[in-house]
Formats: sequence, structure tokens, C-alpha cells
Amino acid sequence: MQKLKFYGHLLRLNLKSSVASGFWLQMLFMVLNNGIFWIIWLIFFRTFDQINGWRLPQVTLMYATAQFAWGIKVVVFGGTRNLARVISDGEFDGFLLQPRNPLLHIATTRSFASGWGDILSGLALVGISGLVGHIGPALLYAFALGCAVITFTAAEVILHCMAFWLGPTNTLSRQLTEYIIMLSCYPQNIYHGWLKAAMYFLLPAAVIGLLPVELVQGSASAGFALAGLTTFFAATAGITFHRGIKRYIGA
Amino acid sequence: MDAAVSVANLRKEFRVKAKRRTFANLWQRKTTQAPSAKAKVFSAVDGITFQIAPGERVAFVGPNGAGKSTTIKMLSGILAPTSGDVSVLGMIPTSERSTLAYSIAAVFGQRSQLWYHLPVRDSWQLLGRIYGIPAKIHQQRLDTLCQKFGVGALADRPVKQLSLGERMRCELIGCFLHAPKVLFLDEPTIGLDVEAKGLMRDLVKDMCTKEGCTLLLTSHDTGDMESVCDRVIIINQGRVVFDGAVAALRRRYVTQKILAVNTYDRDVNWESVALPILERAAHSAKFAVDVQTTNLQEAMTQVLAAAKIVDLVVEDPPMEETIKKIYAATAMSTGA
Amino acid sequence: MKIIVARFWAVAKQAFLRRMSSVLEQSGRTILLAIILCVWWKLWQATDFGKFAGFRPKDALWYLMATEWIVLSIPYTHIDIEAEIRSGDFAFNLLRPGSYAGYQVANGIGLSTANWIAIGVVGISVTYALTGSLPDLTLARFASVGLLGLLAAWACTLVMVTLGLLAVWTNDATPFAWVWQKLQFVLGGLMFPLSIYPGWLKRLAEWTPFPHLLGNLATPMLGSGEGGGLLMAVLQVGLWVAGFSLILSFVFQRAVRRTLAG
Repeated sequence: MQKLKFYGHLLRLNLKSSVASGFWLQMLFMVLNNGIFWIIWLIFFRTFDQINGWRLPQVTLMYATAQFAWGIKVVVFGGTRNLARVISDGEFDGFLLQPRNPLLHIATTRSFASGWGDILSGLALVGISGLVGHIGPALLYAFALGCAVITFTAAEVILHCMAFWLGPTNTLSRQLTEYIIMLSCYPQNIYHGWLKAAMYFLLPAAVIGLLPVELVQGSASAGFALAGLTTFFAATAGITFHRGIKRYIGA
Repeated sequence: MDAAVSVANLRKEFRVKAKRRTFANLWQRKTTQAPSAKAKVFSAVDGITFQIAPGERVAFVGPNGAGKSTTIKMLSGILAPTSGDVSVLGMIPTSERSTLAYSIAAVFGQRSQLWYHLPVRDSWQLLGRIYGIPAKIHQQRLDTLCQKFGVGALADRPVKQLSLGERMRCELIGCFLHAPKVLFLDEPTIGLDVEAKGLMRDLVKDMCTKEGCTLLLTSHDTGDMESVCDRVIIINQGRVVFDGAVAALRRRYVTQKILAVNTYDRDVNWESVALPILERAAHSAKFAVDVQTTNLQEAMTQVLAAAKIVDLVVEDPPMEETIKKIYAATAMSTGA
Repeated sequence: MKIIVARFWAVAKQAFLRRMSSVLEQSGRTILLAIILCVWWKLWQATDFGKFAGFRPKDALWYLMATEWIVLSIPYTHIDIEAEIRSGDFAFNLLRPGSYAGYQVANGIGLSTANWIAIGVVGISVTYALTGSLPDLTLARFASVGLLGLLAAWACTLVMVTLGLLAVWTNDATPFAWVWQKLQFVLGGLMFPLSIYPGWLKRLAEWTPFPHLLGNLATPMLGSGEGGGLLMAVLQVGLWVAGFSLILSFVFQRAVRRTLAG
């Protein structure tokens, strides 16, 4: 309970800090940024009927989930965005010296105002998709969204942990994270074979984009897959980080 | 009484990779090392041993690359030793880091634990929650520390608006909030002006004395050592070259005195004084006296006889000179 | 004049060499391009083309390659300028001889040229590997698409510098760059040509610089003989370069005045 209170306090402090530096501009422009990009899908489906059975509502919900989950992630766990720099610049020492879980502490140390824009645009697009109108799908969607947030965070942590072994990889780690975000914004049902497997187990775009849509449309197996894969990525992130600390301190 | 800090045969080795020629280097005119260059192993800390009693204030002095920061990191648990034993408050730092964290505090030079955009008060509040300090105790402690450090008016200003000296005082308050038993300060006065340095030193010494906090301070500034600490450990090339009281350091290594004189007459001819002249001006001069070979009273007599003296002062050379001699002596003895 | 040209050339050349030797930066952009091309190739293959007669999937991919060639060549100079303004270095850099804006444009041109080479090599290779064929146009026309794309990237560099300077007022230029970029994607026809847009959106887009610096230049890749004459394209790019230069000059003067006023 005390730990929860601590992280709650940290979140409040983060919000205060981001309001102090260009909050409204970042939020508004991110909403515009996401909205303008969605128009591409509107134009696409005006000419083409479907992509392997997916139509505009499915693609909209997929895109919305990517934005929504990413937005929650950068608001609550924004600190992982520069984890590699924290590790390679020596800032990590300060977190190791304090009596808190270093990963959670670093993750909750920053919050980005643009995330609120992603949350708002994500929420709006979820509504526009028309697939989450009732309580049942809404609850399923909430579960899927939570899984997507954890998966995004875990994937980013894994990529940034490269810094423990390779040194200053902040640019590379951020670029690889951008690839995951980008792949999450395109329908993952276009892939087959090893590419499809990669979307599930390597670059978890399917966990963030495809599975939430399938779950909301009534696929029970999608729910199990979401739970299993989210646990897999979270565990991998935790183990990688723990190994990384051992490497960092030379143990 | 158990030692607060205990170190025995502590060693830390690092492997340095050789830089090879790559595609990226082809665009650069300068060449890099030969492709056959191998990785090197170097000892940052090479078998140091010491103990620090609870409440002691110890300066950890050495030139750049001596191993000071590496040692501090091993003591605080953020770097594992290659070999040797280390114990802080009876705990092994690397394996009991989370528990030890509640009892220690550290300030590493320019690194800040305060939130840049927010008022300082918010950072202190967060630190209180990090260390699990009950709200009432936290407030009482904060009020006391703010009064002592004279930062009451700064508490509601964003950190980014503070000068370096003000920020360092606020950092120290952040350190003392949870009443640590051991405090590690790594170059805490770097970049501060003379007045700010003096204030920092007084505050640190006072707080450590009052609270019985063990202090390990690393610094290039010998003023930090002389003003704050009773004991100094000098480390060079990963080894301890001196461990003792500051006063003992002077007695052992200060073999020279300086005679500083002011004269009535202008441009005095000092030929009759058989002492090396360090400095000379129209109405003043400084002489070096090697107390091992020259009687100080005789030296003073020579100077007094040579001119009409307004003022004569006997000084010790700056501690920096003493420390430099120690470094040089170590370098020569190891052939570096 | 000679000194100005020499200075411009020196800065652009240094930026070019620096970017060419930065394996990390180049691989970041080229891998991103490869991923985008692979994803869209899969997408086009999974799309129900049905009765659509506008273009084939392979033409669509060559079109995308040409537009991404331009977009990914544009350097993110606004980020560096924003950082300099925030840190206070901007004011100090004004002390250097020559125009700060000119320096940033030269730097951007050097970077974009280096990007253009890497993106071109990877883009052509990957698109050919995926589609198994070259676009239906002559080599000369293909080369003109590439070169016009480079000019367009240079034109967009002027925009990036201008956007970066907005940080003097807002402390944060990145949100403006996001919106510019997305407008470029949509109104410029990044993913597919404007020919499939609704009429009103097409007309709206034509009033903006985006199609003239993106989609219109890539349209010859669709192989249908579309795309206006080469001379017209060069004139349009040139006009926008002139327009952006004027805007940059105006914004820069205001930014300097604001900075010096404290």
C-alpha cells in the first residue's frame, strides 16, 4: 500500500513537472498529429474495401489501441524512454543508491505531455471505431489495453537494456522502439509464417494491435494469447534488467 | 566498537577494449590503433585496506584516475569489487544494497537528485517518501535543516532558478533528511566560489558532528580536507600512500617553511641572505626554509639583519604543494 | 559573395561527410525504409483491388519508395536548433561570422544529400527485391525523379530550420514538426497518390506545397504516363524554395530580435 502511495505521489509530481514545460502545446499537437494520420486510413478505405477481412472499424480500433496504450505508457512510465541514456551516462548510480526498485523508479520518474494527446486521440478513435459500444466489449478492451501498455513498456525496457552490454545505445534503442510503434499502426493480419511469429514474439506489434481487436470481436483465444504474451514480455524485461544490473555493478 | 566502514585488500580491475578500424573510420583522415591491438586490463584499485570508525570524518584524496570514485562506488554498492572484502555498517554493499540504502546517502559532484522544473520543496517531499520517513518527522526535520542551511526562501523556487551554491545546499538537505549513518560526498565543492565553499564545509562538518554521521569525502580541494576532516587517506594509482590525521600529514611531509617579509625600503638587496627566494616585489619577499637542514631562528636572524622589516610571518607551504610531492614521490617509486 | 559560397560549401561538405560516416544514423533510416516497404508490400498484396483500375501493387510500391526517398532524406535539424535555443547556445552562435540560418541550411543540405544517397541505394534494392521488376519508365525519367526528390528534400530542409527557430517563442519546436510531417504525409500523398483522394481534398492539397514536393514528383513511378512535365516540376519546386527562403528569412530576423532583446 505504501509503495502504491509512493508511485502515486511520483505520478502527481510528474504531471506537475510536465505542466511546467509546454504541456498544452504538446498535448494539442499530438492530438492533431494522430488525427491527421488516421485520415490516411479513411482515404484508403474509401477506395479499397478490405485488408484480409479487416475494414475501417477494425483498423481504426487497432490504430487507436496503439495510440492509447503508448499514451498511457509515456504518461505513467515515461522514464523508460531514456533508460539507455540513464544507464550509460551514470545517472543509474543514483537510482541504485536509493531504497526503491530501480526499474519502477526510473520508469515513473518522467512523464511526457504528448502522451495525453495520444490518450485523448486514442479514446476518440476507439469511440469512432464503434466496436466498443457495450459493457462487455468495453471490459474486454480495458483488459487488452492494460496488456498493451505492459507489453509496450516491457519491450522498451528490453531494447534499452542493450546499454548494459553495448554502452550508449539510446538512439538505437529509441529507433527500435519507434519500429514497434510503427508496426503496431498497421494491420498485423497481413503477415504469415515467420513474419507473423516475429509480430507476436519479437516485435510485439500483434499483442498491441491485432489481439485487442480480435478479443473485442469475441475471440477467446485472443484473450489467452494476450495474457500469455504479456506475461512473457514482462518476465523477459524483468530478467533482462536484473541481469543488466549484475553486469553494471560487475558482479 | 565495530567499524562503520571496513575495507581489506580491495581490488578492482577493468578491461579496456582496443579500438579497431571500421567502415565508419574510413571517412576520417586520422588512423586508429593497429588492428592487432589487444584489450588491456588495468587496476583502478589495487589492494587497499582501511577502517573508519563511526562518526569519523575522512578525506579521500588523490589525483585524477587515482581510484577515489571507484572506491566510493564499491563502498556504496554500485560497483562490485574484483576481490577483497568490504563492509559498510556491517553489511556487504553489493548484496545488501537495498537495506544499506536506508542508512547511507551520497552526493556525486554535479549529479542532482532534485527535480529540475519543480520547487525544491517537492523534491524533498519525494525523498521523504522514498526513504519512508513519516510525514510529521519529515516536516520537523525539514524545518530544522532549512533553518540551519539558510534556504528557507529558496524552498519554493524551481531548482533551475538556483545558483550552484544554493542547489548544493538543497542537495545536502536532501541527503540529511533521512539521518544517514554514513555520508559519501564525491567532489561536493566543485565549481563553487570561495564563500560558497566555506559555507558548505562548515555545514557538512557541523551536521556530521552533531548527528554522529560517518563521512567519507573525496576532493581535489585540500581546503575541503583541512576544514572538514580529521583524517586523510591519500590514494594514488589505486594504492593507499598515506592514512593518518591531517596534522600528522603536515608533520611528516611539510619539510619547508616560508618566511614572508614586508620592508620599509624599496628593492632591498637580499644577497646576504643565504635562502632561496620564492617571490620578490618592491617592498616584499618570500624565502623558503628547509627546516631539516636550516635552523629557523638563524634564517629569521639573517632576514632581519638584511633590511628594515615592517612585518615578518612564518607560513606553512600550501597543502596542495605537500600533496603534489606525495603524488610525485609515489610516481617515482612505481616508475610511472 | 565568394566567401559566402565557400563558407556554405564547407559547412555542407562537413555535414555530408559526418553523416556518411555515421553508420548508426544511416542504418536507422534505411532499416526504417526497408520495414515500411515490406509492410506496405504485404498490405498491397492483402488488399482487395477488385475493380480498381488506377495502379498495380508493384507500381504503388515504387511510388511509395519514391515518396519515402524524399521524406527520409529530410534531416531533423529542428531538433538541434531547438536544443541550442533551450541551452542558450543560440545567442552565442549569432556571434559567428555569417548567418546562423545560412549555416543551418547548409548543414541540412549536407545531411539530406548524404541521407538521399543511402536511402536511394537501399530503397531501390529493397523495392526491386520485393516486386521483382523495375518501374515502367525510362532511366532518364527515373533519374529525374530521384534528383527532383533531392531538391524537394532541400526545400523541406528550409522548413525544418524555420520550424526549429519557432522554439525561440515556444521553447518546443517538436510539436510543429509533427503536424507539418503528418500534413505532408496526408496532403502530399505519401502512401498513395492523390488520384484516389476525394475531389475536395485533392483540390485543397493542390493549394499547399505538399503535393508539389512529394506526391507529384513520385507520380511517374506509377508508370501510367502521369505526372506533369519535368520543367513544370522543376519550376514548382523552385517556386516553393523561393517562398520558404523568404519565410525563413523573416522568421530568423524576428528570432534574432527576440533573442537579443532578452
